[in-house]
Amino acid sequence: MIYRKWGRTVRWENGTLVRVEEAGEAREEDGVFVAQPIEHRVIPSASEGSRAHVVAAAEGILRCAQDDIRIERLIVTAGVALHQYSDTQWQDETRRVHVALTRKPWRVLVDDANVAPVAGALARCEGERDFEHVLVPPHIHIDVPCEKEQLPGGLDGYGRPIERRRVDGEPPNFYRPSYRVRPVRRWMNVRAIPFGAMQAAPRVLALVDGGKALVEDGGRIFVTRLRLDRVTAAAESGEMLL
Amino acid sequence: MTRAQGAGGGAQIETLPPIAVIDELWIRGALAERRLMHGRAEQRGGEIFAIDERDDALVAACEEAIARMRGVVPPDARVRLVSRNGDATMTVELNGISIVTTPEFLSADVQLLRTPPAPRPRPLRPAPCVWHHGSAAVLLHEAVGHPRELGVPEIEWPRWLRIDTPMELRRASFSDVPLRRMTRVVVSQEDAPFALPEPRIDVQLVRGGAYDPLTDVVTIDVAVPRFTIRATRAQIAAALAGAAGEPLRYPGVVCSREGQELVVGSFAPLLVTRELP
Repeated sequence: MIYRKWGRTVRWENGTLVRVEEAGEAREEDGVFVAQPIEHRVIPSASEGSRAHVVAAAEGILRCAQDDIRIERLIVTAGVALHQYSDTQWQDETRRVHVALTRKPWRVLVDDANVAPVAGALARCEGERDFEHVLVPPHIHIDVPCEKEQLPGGLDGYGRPIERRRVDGEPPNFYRPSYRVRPVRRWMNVRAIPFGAMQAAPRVLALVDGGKALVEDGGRIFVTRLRLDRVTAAAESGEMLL
Repeated sequence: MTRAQGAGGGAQIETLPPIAVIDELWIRGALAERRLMHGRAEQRGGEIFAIDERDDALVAACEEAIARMRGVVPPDARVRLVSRNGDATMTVELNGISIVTTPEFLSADVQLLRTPPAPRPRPLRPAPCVWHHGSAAVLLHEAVGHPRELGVPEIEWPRWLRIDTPMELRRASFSDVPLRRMTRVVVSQEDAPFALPEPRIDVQLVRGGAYDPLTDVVTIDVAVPRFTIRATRAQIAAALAGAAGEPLRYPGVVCSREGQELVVGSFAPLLVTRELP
């Protein structure tokens, strides 16, 4: 069986805008994975909206640099891809942002477009402080030991639906980040299964290099070490109390 | 790189060199993975348009290089063969330790993996280190090369030490942004002091390294024997105690920046460092 992909992406990478058109196929025969480009045939159209979105997002993030806050790394991508595996065909659109903000001695990592509040908070950071508990919002992804579940949504690297499952044993779905990469089993759309009682605590705004986080505590901003060895509670919303 | 005036007298259009890459993964003598990638790109000002167009001559050159490497794949190792525009690079891993080499040097380099040096009593760290087989090139790749790539101000190094790091705009694939990258690191010495310290750690092979411009800290993961160094550039400069001989070719550095993996030639003489954290 052959997997085929036709795609276009627009990427802002540290000041350069890159537009890519490519198409390729991958097959696995007798355990050997082979990938190569193919004729373009139909590449889904990426509207000028993608380019405008990427440029606007990047320029907005660049404006967050202020005083001693630097934008060390900025990647914004928008892409559209048409996938085909056997008789299944599907299309997806992706938008991603990766930002590294620095204010010595911290490097703050942001994986969504809402960078300005994080940059503002980093500028007001008073130093490092330990907290008994912190609240981690659902859009910040960390790997912690607790009971988890895979939420339904989307298709995997073989076009199979991602279904609700308890995270236990071998993942039923495969992750294929590119046609050039052999798909690997992976849990997707994972969240902690709700348990325990949530309580007020400083809220994590972003992750900081070195196993730390930028947190807001009653309007004051600190960097704190994350204790990733335990989860005290998890909410239906996906928020976790560490 | 060719240049032309853009339509309407706008930004210049630069045609970036086309790229073709074939890579294959061989595990214990059997082919496990094979990829072909090719394309070209044009740059106009701060914008690059890249498409996976095929250059038959480049693909043929890659196929030829891959065929040459296939003939010498060690049957008991995990081996990645990569040909970029017809060059030939082999990453050979045995027992969790790897080297990067070419067919020309394969036999001698794989011997380093097969016959680890006779064990010596190893002092507790920190201890002075003697960097064998050109492995000091990796230390200085991180401590000198990456700061130069990033435009970080130089610090003072010993007068007897020369560190040559020629730079070029390089990119790993047709859709990558060209970055100012080292092509090689050549460390040499002129009238350097030299004395073998006792006790000492003999560094034979290095697994990898990193430089963090935010903290100015260099991290070196030594593979044989296994330990990790974390030190600032200033600490490394102060720890350089001496060197002897001509630069030796170290078998391999695959350097990754912004996800772009490129081979960087590495050469260094026998080098001695005082205690490093």
